[in-house]
Amino acid sequence: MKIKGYIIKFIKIVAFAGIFVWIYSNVSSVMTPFSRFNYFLAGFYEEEEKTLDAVYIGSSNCHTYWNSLFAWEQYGINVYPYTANSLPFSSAEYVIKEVRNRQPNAVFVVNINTLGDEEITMSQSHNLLDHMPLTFEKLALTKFLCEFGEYPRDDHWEYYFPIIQYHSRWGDITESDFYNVTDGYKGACNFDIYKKKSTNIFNGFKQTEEVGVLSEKMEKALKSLLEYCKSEDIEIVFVTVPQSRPDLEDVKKYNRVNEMVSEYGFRVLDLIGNIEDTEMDLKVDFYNSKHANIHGSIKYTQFLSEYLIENFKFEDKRGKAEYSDWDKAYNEYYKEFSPYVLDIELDSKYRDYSLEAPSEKDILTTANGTSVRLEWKSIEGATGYVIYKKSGKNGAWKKTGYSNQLIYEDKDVKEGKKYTYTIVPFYEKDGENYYGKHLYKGVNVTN
Amino acid sequence: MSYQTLEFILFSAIVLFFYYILGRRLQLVVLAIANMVFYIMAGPKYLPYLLATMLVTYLVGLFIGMIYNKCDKQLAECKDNSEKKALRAKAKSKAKKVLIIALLVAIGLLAVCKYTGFVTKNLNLLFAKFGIPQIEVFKMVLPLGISFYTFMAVSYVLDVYWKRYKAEKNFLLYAVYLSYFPHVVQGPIDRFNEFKEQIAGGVKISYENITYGAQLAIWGFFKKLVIADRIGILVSTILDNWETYDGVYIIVAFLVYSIQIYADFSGCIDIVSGISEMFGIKLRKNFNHPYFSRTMAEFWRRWHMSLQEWFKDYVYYPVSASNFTKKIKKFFKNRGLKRIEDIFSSCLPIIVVWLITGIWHGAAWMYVAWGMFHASLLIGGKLFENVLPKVSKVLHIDTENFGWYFWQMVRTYLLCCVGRVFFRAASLTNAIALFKKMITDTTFASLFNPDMTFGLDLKDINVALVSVLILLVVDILQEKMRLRETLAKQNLIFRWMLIFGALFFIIIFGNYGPGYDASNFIYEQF
Amino acid sequence: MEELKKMLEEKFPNIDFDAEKALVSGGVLDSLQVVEIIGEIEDMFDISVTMEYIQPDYFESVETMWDMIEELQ
Repeated sequence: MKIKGYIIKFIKIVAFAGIFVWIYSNVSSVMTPFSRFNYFLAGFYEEEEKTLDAVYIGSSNCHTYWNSLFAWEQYGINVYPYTANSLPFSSAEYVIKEVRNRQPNAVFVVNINTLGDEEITMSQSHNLLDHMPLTFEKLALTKFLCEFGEYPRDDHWEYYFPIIQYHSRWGDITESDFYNVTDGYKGACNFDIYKKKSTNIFNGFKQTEEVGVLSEKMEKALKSLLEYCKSEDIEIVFVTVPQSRPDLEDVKKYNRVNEMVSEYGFRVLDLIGNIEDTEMDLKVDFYNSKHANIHGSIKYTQFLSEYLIENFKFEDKRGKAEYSDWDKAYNEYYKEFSPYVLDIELDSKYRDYSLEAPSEKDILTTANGTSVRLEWKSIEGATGYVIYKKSGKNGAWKKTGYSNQLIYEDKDVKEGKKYTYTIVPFYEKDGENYYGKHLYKGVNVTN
Repeated sequence: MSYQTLEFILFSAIVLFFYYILGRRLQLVVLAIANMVFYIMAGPKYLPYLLATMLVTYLVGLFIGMIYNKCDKQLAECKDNSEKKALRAKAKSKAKKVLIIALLVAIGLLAVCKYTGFVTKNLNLLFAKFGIPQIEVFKMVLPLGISFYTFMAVSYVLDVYWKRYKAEKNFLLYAVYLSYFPHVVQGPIDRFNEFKEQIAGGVKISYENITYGAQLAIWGFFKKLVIADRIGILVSTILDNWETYDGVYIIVAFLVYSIQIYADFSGCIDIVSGISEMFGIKLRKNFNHPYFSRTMAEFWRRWHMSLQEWFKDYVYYPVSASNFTKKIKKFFKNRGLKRIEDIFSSCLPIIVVWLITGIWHGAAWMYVAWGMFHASLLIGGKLFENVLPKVSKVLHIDTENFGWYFWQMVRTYLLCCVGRVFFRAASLTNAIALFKKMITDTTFASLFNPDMTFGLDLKDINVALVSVLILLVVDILQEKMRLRETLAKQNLIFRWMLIFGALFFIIIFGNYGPGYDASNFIYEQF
Repeated sequence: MEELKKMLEEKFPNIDFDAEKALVSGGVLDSLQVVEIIGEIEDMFDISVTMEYIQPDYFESVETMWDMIEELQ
């Protein structure tokens, strides 16, 4: 009889603990904030295991350059960006270990640009850790970040139990906190600033071949990563994405990384020094000095996709039934980006960026209620111009007509409505049209 | 290690695990190691002070025990009564000499660590008046819990001297008692024999101890994290900027502060008492719903009980029974001044006790003022204890009904709040300035100023109000019944709902983690 | 012991000293009153109540007080 008493007590204790853990994890996930910045990392776990060709690791300098849905649509490869804002480069090894739990055969692409960020703030660590599921790798990464960031001992707890940091949000909880759902865009960026903004970040060319020195902490982390990749036979590519020219000191550090990586026989792409390869234009393809916009991202994705396919022989999986969710995602995503992207942008073959876009001040618009008239200056090398038009708040760019006269009249207009036009120069060669640059924002005309 | 942290919970859990797993014989060893770890984490440089007091009082205890044993042996052989008396007196005076050494060391260390700064500062003020050069103010280290463990050590050695129990031979047991991590920082001030009773022979693991202890600790966390730390923000915001607030808000701040300090102190005591109960060692009760008291005398039997009881047993009675007091009483008696003798014999000890109580709380004049304030209330109560019932009779006031009881509770609370001004102010001059502000610069209307901010928004105030209400209800229930036992009789689902509710209420609404001011733990500085 | 009881009943007419057996632990007498009793006992019986005897156990009832007085004489 006494044994029965013990067994009952034991069951009670286990049940109590179990209920506590269950309630705790629910409360914790409700209180942890979930915003569009977390979609990339959280969305990774929605992918089926062993289905990704590659995983791209970086901070916001990854998901604003690499657009997974464009890569899918044009090349049939699925490369997912496992990113969080300000993800520190030094954590790459642990992140890779975590990712390999679900995608052991994936190729890895890692951005080097955040090499100089040795100070990992507490909110950066939270960005990375809060939406990782609980695994041993996560615990190892937590420990690593706390030590690397040199957080005071008392603060370590809030990474193992994020509720310590977030319970004070109790006054701000809204309905959406109960459903932590991503947008389903497979990591393709959907920020407004990414779609709409274009800034000139060109600031002169600084280049050096000199090899610099990394800090002891960073050198140790990088070496460990390279050793790990070598021992596990991981295929990995290191990239410096194009940004406005960095400090000479940073360039030297990138060179040191290139050197170390090459010693191990892994691939390195220095796209800051070789930005021409991507055909990205520092004057229009970025929304700030460290992030590309959607147009730059299209070019970057095209470049990197072709590089990856050539080097790793990824299969074209378009049309396969198991990947229909990617098609579905792309169709949903289309509504988001079509107001900002011309169809010809998504076709890399027939572009010639030596043709300049007609600049805004060179386009004259007149509207008289029944028609809108565009006049522009000639572009060197162009034999014809195709006009795109969009209207309404979220209207998509649509091809409206052609002209080789430097004038175009659009009669398909309603009075009082606002329209936006953009003009793309082209020339013909061997039976194909080669299109040049265009004004991303276009010109607005109110009829 | 602060008591209200996750670290402390994990530390206690680990110690608890080893305490029961390793068997009863090693329990003292486990506790000894735990106490050392806990104390060293606060600061290794404090350890020598604790060890000094511990060793000296232990050795003196043994020595006194030896003296008495020898005396008893001699008494057994002796037949003559007057010789017996002489032997006893000789033993006593010998023991007294050794006792004084222990008291000098223990209290001396306490005095030096705590009061050197205070004494030098005041001497310097005095010297400045007479042109004597200033003494350098020496920065003394204040070992963790010195005010508390010193009192416990003194209680032990005095109890042995007064033959309340035999000196303890087992040094480990005594060391564990003195350095016991639940009570070393801020009490309760336990007595050695009560401690020994519970742990000697080992503690058997009991489901009841663990669950009751855990419930008490959870209740303590609720009081500390949800109530005290939350309303403390309001109090600090107002009092740290008291010049900018209208007097009425300062009054509000002190009214709220009285709740804060109750929730804070009793909350932490509940945490450590609950944790200790899980070890099978029930600590002395330190709080018995003090704000339900009818008189100030009753209040001090319900607030920080272990301290008052210590003063009663080791200061009040000895002073009353001392030859000095007796001489003075005889002096008055012989002159037929019975009434004055009565007053003297009751008031002198009160004044002495409260002088020491005041200065024990802090090395500053405002604490002395606080002590004297309460002493005068108690003396007043004593002097008028015959007069007041007559007044109530004349005015036809019924002193037994609830209405009168309610008035008495309000009166007690308000008197405490007045005392707290001395306690919370930055200095005596600050306290006087605050009183001045409350009396002269108060406009009731500014309570209705919607722009006032106190560091707490409306949501926080709502949570605070609800929590204080819960506190009131639970305290009332505790007055009427043993709450944990009643709870144990309820259905499992109800109990578990209550416990999970409490746990997650604390987890969500508790003031901990980043973004909150690390609230001063009020009594820890002693 | 009768003198003792008479003195106590005179001083504290509200307390039933026959029935009460937990005068201190039950909170019937507070410390001030205990000191008064000690003073009276010392005068009445010409003894000196030392600290060893100022313990709650000795003041719980008339009987225990009388035990203490006998010990001290």
